[in-house]
Amino acid sequence: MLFLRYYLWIVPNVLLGLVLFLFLGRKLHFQLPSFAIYAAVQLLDFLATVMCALHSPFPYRVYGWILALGDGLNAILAVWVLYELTVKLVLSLSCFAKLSRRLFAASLAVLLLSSAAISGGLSDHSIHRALNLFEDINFSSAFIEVGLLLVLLVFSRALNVSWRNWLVGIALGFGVDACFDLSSAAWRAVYGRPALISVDITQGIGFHICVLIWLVYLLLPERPSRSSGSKLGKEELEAWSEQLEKIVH
Amino acid sequence: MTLAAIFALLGVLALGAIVCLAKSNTRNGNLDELAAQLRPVDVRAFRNLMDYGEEQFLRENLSFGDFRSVHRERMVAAAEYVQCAAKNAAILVRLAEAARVSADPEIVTAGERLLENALKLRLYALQMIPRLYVAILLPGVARGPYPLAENYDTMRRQVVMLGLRFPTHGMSSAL
Repeated sequence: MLFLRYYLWIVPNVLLGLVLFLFLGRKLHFQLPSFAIYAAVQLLDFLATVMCALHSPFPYRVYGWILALGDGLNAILAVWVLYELTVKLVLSLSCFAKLSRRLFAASLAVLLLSSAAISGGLSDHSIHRALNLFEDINFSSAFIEVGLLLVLLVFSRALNVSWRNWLVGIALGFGVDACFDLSSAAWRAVYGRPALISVDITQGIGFHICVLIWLVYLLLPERPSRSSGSKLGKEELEAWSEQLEKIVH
Repeated sequence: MTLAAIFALLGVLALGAIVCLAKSNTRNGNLDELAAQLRPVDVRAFRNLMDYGEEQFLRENLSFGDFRSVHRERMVAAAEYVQCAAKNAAILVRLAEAARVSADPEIVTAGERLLENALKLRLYALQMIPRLYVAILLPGVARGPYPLAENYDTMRRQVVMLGLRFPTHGMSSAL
């Protein structure tokens, strides 16, 4: 069990380093800078917790605050990544800019309010302020991320906008991680300390799957639209002539 | 306990929904296959079905029972036209996306125009279909000011214009 916990703590972060390396190598940070920043902050957070773990005696209080602040910062950055995905997919089209900005803002407001209400109800407040804060942020951010992703996916499905492979990978990765967090954070809030280890393992598995998804999608080549050439049919020429006549008259 | 179980279940359901939606949003376009799925839309007939003057004429010249039955058939037919136009627009979104990544800037511009128009049409259709079904139950109710027919005509012209520089796989003739 101890090996599994160490594995889930270290390996996903090493893989995330590889994801960041590939992301920067393919110059994708020009298209989605927020994701590069998110990954870099996540790695810094990991390094800070490693430094804490190596410190003797173990600084519980500092470790708690690093977890809480890191989680808070990552939650904000994850929402920023989702906003950038929305911008790339629908806001870039002028006719939808206003509509999708409103939709995003309204969804965010509703999710923020409901997550605050639910996490307030779920909280099992311990004497550690940092731990309470961490639990609230963890649950709320997962709730908001899942909600925003669903809104974005349903909206783009309704309009039939297709996503590039790596953008789907990033959204899917965030979705998997947030769903694991959502399921387990509520569990931790109800059962408290006895559930900490199992929840940590569950969230670690979720993050591991998330990073693997990012890695696979970044390694996948882009699939171009397939076609069998550009031969012109008689019907097509007739349609051109008919439509051009309409334009002229 | 119950709340935690609800959220655990919610997380699992959301995971399933996200995976399904993300999979369906992946770009997978064989344009030839998509072109074969296009169904022609008779814009003139659609305009006639949506014409309030025509509706008024039928109301004045038919008995109430006959009018309701004819009106229901007209609205169902209009809803089918809108669904068909929206489906065609979804296919044209794929064509426009393919044009948008062309090296030729003029093709890119044409692709972007087509994409905006096709998405607009899908958005109109999403708003219009429920209104048409309401109009079946309540004749005379406003069906909205959506310029769907004009939009479809423009979209068709844009495909034709795009086809002058980019392979449209017979889409312009199939609309």
